Amino acid sequence: MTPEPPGPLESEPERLLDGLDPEDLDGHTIEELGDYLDGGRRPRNAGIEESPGCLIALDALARLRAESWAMLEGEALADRDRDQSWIQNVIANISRESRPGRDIPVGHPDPATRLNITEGAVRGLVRAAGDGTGGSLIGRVELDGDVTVPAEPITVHVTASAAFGPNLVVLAQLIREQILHALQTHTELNVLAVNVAIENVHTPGTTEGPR
Amino acid sequence: MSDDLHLSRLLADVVSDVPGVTGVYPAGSLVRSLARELVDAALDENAGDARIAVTRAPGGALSITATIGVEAGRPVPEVLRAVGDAVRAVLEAEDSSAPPPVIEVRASHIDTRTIGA
Repeated sequence: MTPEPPGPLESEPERLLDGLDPEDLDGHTIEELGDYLDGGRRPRNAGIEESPGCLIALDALARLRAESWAMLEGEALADRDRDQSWIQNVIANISRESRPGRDIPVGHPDPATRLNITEGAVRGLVRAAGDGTGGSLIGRVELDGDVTVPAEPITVHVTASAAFGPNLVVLAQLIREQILHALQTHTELNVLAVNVAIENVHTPGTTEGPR
Repeated sequence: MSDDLHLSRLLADVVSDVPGVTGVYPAGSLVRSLARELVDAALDENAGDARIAVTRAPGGALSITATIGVEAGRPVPEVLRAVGDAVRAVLEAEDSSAPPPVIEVRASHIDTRTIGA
């Protein structure tokens, strides 16, 4: 039997994706960012390094490669199509969520000093906090509610994929705690709840989909 | 070099030196930034490195806009307030009799590389 040629999963994850709106990333594509990451961010590309959206996406792509790729490797041969679809979604979300979005206010005693954090920066923070738990990877981040109004209650919704092994209830609670801690440290958002939906469990040969 | 360009560069240096600030970015999208730099360049060939938007209302009141990156090792609100205060201190030192300026500081990137490390 002739072995199958290497699939996209055996190269870089962002190779799986094309057709994203370059406006999401200040005129750059996710593939350009992947190449730039490959080159160790050298020579310095000012257009990328001075674009907050690109920096948010670079942070997330680097984690996707460094921390989470190994989580999926065992499954790659057994369920390649499902993984490709899932990773495409993650990368599409990284690109989309890196956009600045809404301004989230931070208080200052002087009303003539207006301070804000962009929604894109906060989504990047949430993603990093969730990815940082280990053994899981954040798929999508949504800030539900009017984040532009101080003290307005909001709800955070995230989806995640997990490596087979850890107790999923415990893992979801850990993700929730990490995200809440990050938001309480870095924003003044009134977070009512952080909802974590684990949509995939990655294990060699698994065929489980979203649940 | 215009006074406002000089002020923009001065403020960019001050903002960059605030602990927790990882970068000072051109305000707005890259396209708008490039367009602004082209306009600035027509006035001053060295204007392309201006980072902080400085605009003046008809009455002379200044409006300052800074877009920054912040490291996750420090609370972002604390860094934002420090930047706002640093900018106001510079403006007051430059001209204490001027109308109160409006200062806007936006954190558009949080450097999360230390999270979970």
